[in-house]
Amino acid sequence: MFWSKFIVHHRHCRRSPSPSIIVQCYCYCRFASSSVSSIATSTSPTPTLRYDRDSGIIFLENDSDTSSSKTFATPPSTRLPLYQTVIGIEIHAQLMVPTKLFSSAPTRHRRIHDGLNSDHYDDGSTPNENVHAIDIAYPGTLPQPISTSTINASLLSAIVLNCNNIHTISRFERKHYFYGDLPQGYQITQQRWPIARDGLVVFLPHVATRSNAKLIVDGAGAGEGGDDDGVPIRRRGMRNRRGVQENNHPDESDNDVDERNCQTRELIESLSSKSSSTSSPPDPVQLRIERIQIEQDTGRTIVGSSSSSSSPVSHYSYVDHNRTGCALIEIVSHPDLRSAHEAAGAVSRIRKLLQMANVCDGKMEEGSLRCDLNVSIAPIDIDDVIGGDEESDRSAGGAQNTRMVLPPNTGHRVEVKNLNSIRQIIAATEYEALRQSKLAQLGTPTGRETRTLVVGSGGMADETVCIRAKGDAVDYRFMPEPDLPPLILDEETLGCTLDEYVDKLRTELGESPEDAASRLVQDYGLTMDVAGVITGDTRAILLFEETVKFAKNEYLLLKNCDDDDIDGDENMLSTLAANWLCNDLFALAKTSTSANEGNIQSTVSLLDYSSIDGQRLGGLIAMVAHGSLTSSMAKKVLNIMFVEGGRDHPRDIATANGWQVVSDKKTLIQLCNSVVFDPKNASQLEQYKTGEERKRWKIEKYFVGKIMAASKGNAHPELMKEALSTVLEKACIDS
Amino acid sequence: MTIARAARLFRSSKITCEQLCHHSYNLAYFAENSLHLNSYAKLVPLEQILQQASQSDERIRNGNSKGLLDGIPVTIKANIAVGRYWEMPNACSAILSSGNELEDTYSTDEGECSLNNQVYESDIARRLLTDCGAVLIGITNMDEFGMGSLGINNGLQRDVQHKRPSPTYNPVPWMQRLASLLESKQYLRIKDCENDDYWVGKLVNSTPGNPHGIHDENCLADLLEEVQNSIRGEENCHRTDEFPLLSPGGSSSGAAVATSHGSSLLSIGTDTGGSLRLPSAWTSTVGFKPSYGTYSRYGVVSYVSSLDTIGFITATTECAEIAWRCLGAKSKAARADGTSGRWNVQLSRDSTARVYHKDSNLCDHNCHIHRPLDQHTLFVGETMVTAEKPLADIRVGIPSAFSLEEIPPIIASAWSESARSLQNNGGATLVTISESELASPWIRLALSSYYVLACAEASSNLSRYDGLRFGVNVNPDSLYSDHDANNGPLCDMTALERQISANRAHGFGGETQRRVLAGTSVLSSDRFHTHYEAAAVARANISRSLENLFRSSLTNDVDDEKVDVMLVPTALTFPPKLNQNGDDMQQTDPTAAFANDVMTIPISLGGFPSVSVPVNADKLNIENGLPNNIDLRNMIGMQIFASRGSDDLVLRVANELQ
Repeated sequence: MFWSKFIVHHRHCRRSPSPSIIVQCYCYCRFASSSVSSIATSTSPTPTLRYDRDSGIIFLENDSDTSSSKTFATPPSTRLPLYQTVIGIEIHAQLMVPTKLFSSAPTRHRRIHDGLNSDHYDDGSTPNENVHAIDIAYPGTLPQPISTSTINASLLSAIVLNCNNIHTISRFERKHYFYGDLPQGYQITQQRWPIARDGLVVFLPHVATRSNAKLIVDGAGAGEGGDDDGVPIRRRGMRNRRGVQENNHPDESDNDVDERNCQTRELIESLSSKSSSTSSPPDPVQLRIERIQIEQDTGRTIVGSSSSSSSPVSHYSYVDHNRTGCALIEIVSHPDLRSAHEAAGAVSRIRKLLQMANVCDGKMEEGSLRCDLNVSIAPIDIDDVIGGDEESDRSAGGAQNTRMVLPPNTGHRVEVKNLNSIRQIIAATEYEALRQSKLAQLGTPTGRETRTLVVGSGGMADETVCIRAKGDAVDYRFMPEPDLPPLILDEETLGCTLDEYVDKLRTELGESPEDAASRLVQDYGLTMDVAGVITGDTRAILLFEETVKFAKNEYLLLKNCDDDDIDGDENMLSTLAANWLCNDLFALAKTSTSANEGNIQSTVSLLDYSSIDGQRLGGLIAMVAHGSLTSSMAKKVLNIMFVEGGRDHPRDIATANGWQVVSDKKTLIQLCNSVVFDPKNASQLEQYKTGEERKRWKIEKYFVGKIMAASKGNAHPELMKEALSTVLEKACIDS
Repeated sequence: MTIARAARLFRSSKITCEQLCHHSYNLAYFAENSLHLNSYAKLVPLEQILQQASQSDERIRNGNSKGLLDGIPVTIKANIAVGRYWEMPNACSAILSSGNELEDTYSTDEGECSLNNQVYESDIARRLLTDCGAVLIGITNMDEFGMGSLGINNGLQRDVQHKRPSPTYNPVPWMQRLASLLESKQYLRIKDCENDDYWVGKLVNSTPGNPHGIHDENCLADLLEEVQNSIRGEENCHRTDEFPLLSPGGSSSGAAVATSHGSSLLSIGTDTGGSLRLPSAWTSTVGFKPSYGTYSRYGVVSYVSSLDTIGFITATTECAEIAWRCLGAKSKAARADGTSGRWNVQLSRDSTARVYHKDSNLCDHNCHIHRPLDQHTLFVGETMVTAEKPLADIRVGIPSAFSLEEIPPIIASAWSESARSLQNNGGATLVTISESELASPWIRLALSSYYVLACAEASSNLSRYDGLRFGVNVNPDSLYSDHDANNGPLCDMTALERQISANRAHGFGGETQRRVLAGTSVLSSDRFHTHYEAAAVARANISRSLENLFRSSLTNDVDDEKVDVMLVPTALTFPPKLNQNGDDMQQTDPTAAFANDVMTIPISLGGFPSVSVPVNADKLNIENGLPNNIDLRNMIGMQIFASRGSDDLVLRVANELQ
């Protein structure tokens, strides 16, 4: 093992030389008054730029109400839309393949492939343990032929991203730059001849988290952090896709623009209200994928501490080459996105798709999936907005068309590199939107830059800092890779044509979340919303179906009847199962995730945190359905099952804790008798017999409480009340 | 001595491998320490050579020899990894493997890495030394990273003071002088017509101080003193007006010198634009470059990945043929299994190996011309029975496009004499390829496109020597003054960039830096299309127009226009004189040396198999019309080349030429 040590300058500590930007709050930016006076005109309140994450519009508004920046109570007259963000994404996803791209060195995914338990996999392998001479560019080594698993994973990615063109011949090229984590001095990648082109992803924009939103109730919320709901996508996505195909003349909608001389103010008002109304569920958006390319990952740089104060260099960095040379796919999108929440939604969706295909584990915090954003701003022309009112309304059919062309006068794009969470994507977009708008307002629009997000700490907000300006842009000197022949996927190399091979992979992939959701609706009578939540989690579909199966079996046993007799109860069982799975079990899993890591964004499935299988959950559902457990008891049982694990049947857990609904009539009557005729309660009984209606009702409630206590809460509430009235009636008659 | 003779003497127990290898060691020692040829970057210690040789002896005695190469003394070029004997052919000495350790470890300034306890060895070295049992005498010297045609860019001995390294010198002038001291007034290399007893006697009496067996010790001492004076650059030190310090050609300089001087019977080298053929022409040896992709390049330091080809230098074409068949046995089998040039997991460690062997039939087609290997080689020289007209079915093309106006008359006449010899003695049909079929501008264009492509790939391949893992690691502050550091380009650099540029500026030799910079330039986004792509197009055109001239062996067409092989001179120049600093005395422009490769480069660009054969000056009717009294007729090579995969055919025709 060795460390390759090198010196780095504190590049990231160089702040961009634009001190006039004062970031006050996470979501808006305030002009320094001196530099902005020119555009602030004569209005007395300080104008503020505000970014709407849903619509992607940067407004100039008078900051008359500084205390409540979140509310949109400001008079519409002071809100002026200035710019629209235009965003493209590049996603680097590490493929879950056992060896590196061009060497036989194992990757951290090797264990999974070796059949070892992935739950206990440990990424803390010793630095530079999984290194082959090829990975560190030992002189004379040559890249070895690419592995079949890498080919399969790349093709699967192309399949799930709906790529129209998967190429029989793709070629590798070298991208040159010097850095300590790049031993060859170049990265082998694909540039002009990628493996796949022209994909399409349909997704729901991210929806801001509402902490108490219940999954089932708020279907469109579909889980925190933009875990998108796959169901409506399919329905509406069909229409959108048609929109793409018809869209040969994307300018047409612009041409329709009437020179309607409507009141600008009214328009602004409508825009504002539209953008501020976040309660309605967002409509699906589509993102065109330009290409998917296979490439090598770089090493991981670990910043070391300063060696000594006398040392002339600022500090050393160390490189761990375990990651060097791992297989990545880079997914490059068109600049079809228009807002921070769309960018976040698109990344979540792609991450999910790759996870579902088992291509990438999607662990953003571990760097398995990293995202670069290309953000630019386009001025909003009031005239255009008037004509293309529906442009801002994404549900309109023409909306997708306008995305296909860059808005006129779009500024230079700024690349923000290596974003490691959905939150960072939103933060970076917003920061860039405001920064670029500010510069544009000052008449000094941003040039092409590469920036990185510095996560704020100690009360400081996040911000992006420049790592490369236009002047010293890197020339990557792309060159065809002479050590590798073209990657040819044909009968000779695959054993069948590429189309057949892709079809085979598609079949092995199984059903898409969309298909699964409609099947759940069809077969189990679930609502689309619920089905969407279940299919949004990789493991939940299987668990749900097993749960229903076992629940039905146990229910039959409890009822002691035949299959046919419970026909009507089947839907009841599946609805119960879905509710318990999505509400209670997910809630438990989520608490435990946030307790463990504080970040649920990157887990493949929430159910990874649960050991409850379909048999045990099914047993519980059956007992609830049968009435042998009340739902509060069942919750306690579920909690025990979740926390303690093990294989105990829920019935045994309930019994062990003395949770047993007493619903037998005889037993209940006995119980009532013992309480009602208890000498301690003789006075109450006497009052009941003699008392008027109101008094009786009160006494009855008293008895209910006493009986419940006597049964230790196990008495079936309704049946017990029935029994009580029988007993009390009898007592009255007897007397 | 040839491989065939050695193998025969081993098997008849007249000599042992130990004796031969000891003699080779003596010759190598003499070359380095007495003649100062600088042909070896590293000599393997004698006891290790003898240990290997005795194992070969035992195998041959027990009848389980590993083949004809078992026990044969060989050398390997410094850019090919040879386990623990390997030294890098450049200033990047930080990765030198330490010869005493069993593990192949390397260290940087900051730590070290063990490569899974496996010795890092190239595929070709493993094949030669492990599979074929050859005995390694040493690692041969070369131009740094293979960049250079003269053997003067040797980076090995560069020290901190930027002192120029000693160049590798051409042994031919000294060999001529040595021959004059011998009773047998014959050159020592190519004419292997002495009887066995002569060689046995020579081996037995060989010593490190006098391996050639010169009886007159005083004459030898005088000669060695003259060598000393020449190397020191003293004026008028020469007994005659001969000028003995000549370039051996490059970049496989050491390989050619070792073979020419006799210490190695088979020198493995690499050929990128002519690196094997040019030195072999200038040192009167046979240089063979097989089709691109014949041998796996795994373990060979990349210079121009798309052109680098492993080949070898031998004393005779017969030796080359034996080496070709012994080393290629396995790759031929692999070639026939239909994995040609396609992505395949089971392919060799070099993905580009065998890319061009699209028709495996091509090889089979030519294979039948061979007699069984043992028969053919073991009794050569005694029972050599050749057909009357062995080349009767061969059409030899003489492309007029290669007849550039710079061609010296003596080389032009050697060319036509060689062609006539093939026609008269071999019975081949000569076909003149007119300017209209192959235009000479392409040949000139080949040179410039080669240097564009070569520099581009070199700049890419060499970017790994940044000093962090490979290459020297120097302190940038010690290299630049404060003024430099605060002004000019340096002040815009980050600490890492400054470190890397210091390492590379210090570590790379001048020629390497020139080529890396040129390559960086042609790959830049504003020149990529105008330079790199244009060069790639030119390359494709040259390659295609040459390929179109060859008769396809598959169709067996009897097209009169097409040919089987082509004959052109290897070089249009003679070895330049060097001074004691290793400077070419006639040239000041470093790019002028590029012209030495003008005849070899078009063939390299097409990946064609090519062999350079020394012209037999006695056989040919050529006048030595040149000054200096050095017999320049021994420094002319003729190249035979054919379509990709026709390696056997090329060697067969070359055999007749010799």
